[in-house]
Amino acid sequence: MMRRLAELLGSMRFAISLLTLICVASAIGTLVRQNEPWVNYVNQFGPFWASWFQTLGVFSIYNAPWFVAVMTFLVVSTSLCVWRNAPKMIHEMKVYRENVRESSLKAFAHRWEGQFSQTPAELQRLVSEWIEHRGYSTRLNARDNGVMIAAKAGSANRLGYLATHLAIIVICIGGLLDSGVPLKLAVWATDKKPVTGAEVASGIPTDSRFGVANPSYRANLLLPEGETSRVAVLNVDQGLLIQDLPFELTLKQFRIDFYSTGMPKLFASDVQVHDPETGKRFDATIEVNKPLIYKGVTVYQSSFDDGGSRVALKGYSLKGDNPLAFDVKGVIGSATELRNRDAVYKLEFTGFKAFNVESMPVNNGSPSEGDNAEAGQSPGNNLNPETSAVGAERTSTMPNQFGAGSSMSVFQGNLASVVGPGVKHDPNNQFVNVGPSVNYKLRDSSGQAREFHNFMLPIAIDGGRFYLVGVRDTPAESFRYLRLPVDDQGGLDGFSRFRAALDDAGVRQSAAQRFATAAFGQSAGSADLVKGVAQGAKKALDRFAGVDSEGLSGLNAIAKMIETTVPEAERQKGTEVIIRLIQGAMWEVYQISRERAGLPKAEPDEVHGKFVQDAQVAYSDLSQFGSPLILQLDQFEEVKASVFQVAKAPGQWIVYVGCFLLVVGVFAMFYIRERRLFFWITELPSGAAIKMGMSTTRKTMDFEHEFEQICAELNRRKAAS
Amino acid sequence: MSSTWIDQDASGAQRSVSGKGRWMPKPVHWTDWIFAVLVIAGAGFAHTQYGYAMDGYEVGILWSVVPVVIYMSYRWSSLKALIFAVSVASLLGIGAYGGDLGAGDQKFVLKYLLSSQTAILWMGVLFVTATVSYWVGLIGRSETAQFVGTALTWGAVFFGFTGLFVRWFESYLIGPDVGHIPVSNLYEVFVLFALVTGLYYLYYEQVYNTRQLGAFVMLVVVMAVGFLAWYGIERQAYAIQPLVPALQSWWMKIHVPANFIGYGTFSLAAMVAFAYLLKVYAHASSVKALFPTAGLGVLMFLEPLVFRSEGVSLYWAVYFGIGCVVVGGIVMARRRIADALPSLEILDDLMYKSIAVGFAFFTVATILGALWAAEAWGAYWQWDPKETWALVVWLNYAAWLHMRLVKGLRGVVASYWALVGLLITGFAFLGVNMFLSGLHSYGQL
Repeated sequence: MMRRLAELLGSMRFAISLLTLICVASAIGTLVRQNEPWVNYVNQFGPFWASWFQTLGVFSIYNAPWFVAVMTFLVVSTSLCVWRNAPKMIHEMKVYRENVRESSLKAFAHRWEGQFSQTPAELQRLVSEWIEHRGYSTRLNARDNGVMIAAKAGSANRLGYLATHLAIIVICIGGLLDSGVPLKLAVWATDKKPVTGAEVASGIPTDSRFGVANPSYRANLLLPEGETSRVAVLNVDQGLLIQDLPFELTLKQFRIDFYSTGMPKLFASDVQVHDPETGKRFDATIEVNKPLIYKGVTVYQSSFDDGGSRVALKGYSLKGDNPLAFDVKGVIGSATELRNRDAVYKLEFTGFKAFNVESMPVNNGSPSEGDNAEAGQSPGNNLNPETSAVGAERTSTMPNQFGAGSSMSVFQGNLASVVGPGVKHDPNNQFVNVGPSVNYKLRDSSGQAREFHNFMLPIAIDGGRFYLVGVRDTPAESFRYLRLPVDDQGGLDGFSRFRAALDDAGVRQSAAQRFATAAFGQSAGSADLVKGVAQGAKKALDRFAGVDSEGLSGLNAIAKMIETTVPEAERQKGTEVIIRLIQGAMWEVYQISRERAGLPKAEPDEVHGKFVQDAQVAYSDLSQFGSPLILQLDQFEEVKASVFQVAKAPGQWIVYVGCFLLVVGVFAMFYIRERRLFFWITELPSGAAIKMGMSTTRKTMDFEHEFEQICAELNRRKAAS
Repeated sequence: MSSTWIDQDASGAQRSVSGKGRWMPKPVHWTDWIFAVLVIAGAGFAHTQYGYAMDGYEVGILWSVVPVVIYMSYRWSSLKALIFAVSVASLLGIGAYGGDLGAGDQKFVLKYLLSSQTAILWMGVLFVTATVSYWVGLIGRSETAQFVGTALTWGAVFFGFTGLFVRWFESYLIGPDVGHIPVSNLYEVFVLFALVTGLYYLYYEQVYNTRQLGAFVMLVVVMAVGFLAWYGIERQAYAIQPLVPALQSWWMKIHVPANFIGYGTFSLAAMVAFAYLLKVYAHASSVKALFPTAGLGVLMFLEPLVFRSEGVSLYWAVYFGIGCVVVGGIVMARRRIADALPSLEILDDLMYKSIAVGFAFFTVATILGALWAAEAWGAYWQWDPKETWALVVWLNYAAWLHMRLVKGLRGVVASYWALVGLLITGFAFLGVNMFLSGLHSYGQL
């Protein structure tokens, strides 16, 4: 029974089945994103399948018990294969089989016979010398009726077999040492209890801690600038464990550098290492591709994050008639409470970036495409191009996308630019640092959060300058950006005043009146006209402000108003009139908003004209913005944090030894051909006869060539003799 | 009568296989010596001229390449001419720039011949014409046309390598901090893929002394050129991009080329497998037997576009259309093609040899990748999609080789398997970049 089991486990059929299983499982692991939050899986597969897949370990397939088991079986199977075959192979390598019987030479598929005039002794010497020169080693077996020369070459081929199969075992064992398994075992054996983030703050209990002696771990360490840590964090299923490090690490500075294209060029952490045991203290720089190795522990630059930057925000209400800004201060990663007249919000500061390099059109367009690329990004920054601060691939998504609509003409146009050096001449876009940005979430009393992404500085788009305020309701969406025009002071106050004024019924009333008077009040007897115009303007402004307009506001409300009140035949003319009405009245709203703030009257020039126009559009868009307030980044004090991976991988060198064996073995297997030659030399009355047989474990064309060559040479010698 | 057989051996030997002869199968010619001196001088020149841009590892790589190149060109003499021509042309190109990137658009020799994009364009054009020549030769039984095919393929390889070397230099002209070996993104490695496949084919063409397979092998090269044309011209992916921090490592110089020797030879093997199946089924009475072969052929053309998310553009529709026509044409003309093809035995041997080479290099490349990953990402293996698919490819060919070496699998099944292997390889190479994200997202589509 045991023997049959061992035979099955060691069989190649079994091994190939395991390999297939590993292939399929691995492929699944690449198709289903691994180790994502549970919610994502439920969204993707539905609760039923998600829980099934969870049970099968599909979401963490490479650590699933059955996957580890398959790997183990592979090791067992390969070991059995080596165990069974190695003695045979080593024996085969050594033996010459010089005792082979003359008669069995006849069974060889490759054989040759011929007679020579030399004496058997002479012939034996010639043949031995000749084939030894060809790279064979020989052994003689003198018998009563003749001499058998047995020769072999390429025996190291068998070593190739041994080396490759041993390599697989060694690599798997080394890999197992560095996998999550030792940690699980250690947690189980020492009964460690994972803690949650909240508990960490109140001190770490010893049974959630691993000492310096832990032989294998891969932990994370987020270190803000200026701070020191002696521990790293291990993520286990339900929480965290703390790993003590054999040294103290202080982050002095984290540096990011960009190429002129906006691609990241350098992520580097200047650290100080302090060894409490020896008191040794030294500086080091950790970069991607340049880890720090000290006391058997390797520290890698794995990503970066905000280390708790302090930000000061200016808040503007988007409802009601108060145009004044209020101040909010906070630290990234923390939260605070915001009260307004009728609600309480939790304000969570989630991210800050001091630089945002975007591909900006030289003339017009918006950076929204660039922002889209960033949409799915969490505040943490991975160092890989895919999600890095300013993604490398963003450039490729920008200008020349070959959508379904474009045609071969683009192709031809681009063809001309392809000759010459490998440099893209793109006069339409350039990379610009658009300044700092902040991410925050506003969570209402029901727990619903809306996320915002605001730029600190105005950005030039479409010939104007705007503050961009991004919003989204779920992390799956990309940000939608609201453009708020810059006022003549370069700030947002102007828009806030305009917005508040427009939302004030009294202001709308007096603006309509002022407009009517200014436009028609000079001529005598125009009182009725003025009154009519004022009424019309008031109505239009009301609608625009969302009063009596079926839930619509802004330009949509006006469009609706035109649709319902102006007969179709007069629509074009009517539309013009209403637009002129609104334009005029809006100008007055603007003027009133300035008066209230004690600002001088605005001259009807291009600057103010454009502002009023943009402000109307922005106001119109507010209805889709959905938030009662915005928070504009006013001041900041950046604190960066570096995220390190701290690893002790005892299996690494075992794996490398295995890899070396593998390479040696693979080349030996393919490029060393094992061959055997047998010459049976007998005495003839006039000379001697040779019966030759040639064999190999693997028939290839090279073998056939060699056989033909050897036969040809023997034939030539036979003729010569 | 001689007292030894060894002397005779030397006089009459074209190819002896003695122990020493295995590594030195032919006498060292005086050109070998001259070439060796030139290579050493060239490396010395590169070291003194461009040493400032290399770190210790890279200097090590430079000098390790020297014996490899000398030995390879001793074994395969044609390589000498290629290396010589590429070196001269690259130096001419570099010299013509005179330190000013703008010269690329002004000087005639650069703009129309030696600047990287122009040279790569020439490579594409020559590969395509070579393929046409090979097909004309195969179907029209014209040795001249096939000779022209070979010559054009050499030309294409020459231009391709020159283009890459000049591109390497151009990247330093953009900015000293931008400069890097051109194997860093999908565009550059596609050029490398076409070159490696082409060069390996040329080698086997000489070893097996047959030009009939060029028509088949060049198809996969042309597919790569077709992709390059779209990727370069439409997506403007030809632009040299600086290296993100993860790629700033000397490991890239050896990991990527080793990988592409694997990809190239696997593709070569698959095309030979295609020829094998065609020959086997050419005289089959039932057309049904041809369906799987033709289907796999069509699938191969389909692979670059099957996973595209943005819909199929006109370019890819045309590309696929041409692919179908080519496969259809091949199937129609199968008898005429099959009769001209080398024996099944040779095809089988070639398939095995190129998979063996590919497997060996793919093993090395994957290990190099693991070593690099250990340094850059902190773990030599972390089941990143590209890593995982490399493992799948590796296991696939490991199984193929097991079956062949242990069970003696050959013929039709081995050929189908080799073709399917290319589909898997193609997915690992392209598909992963197209729609799986991960750490290897340097060449996204």
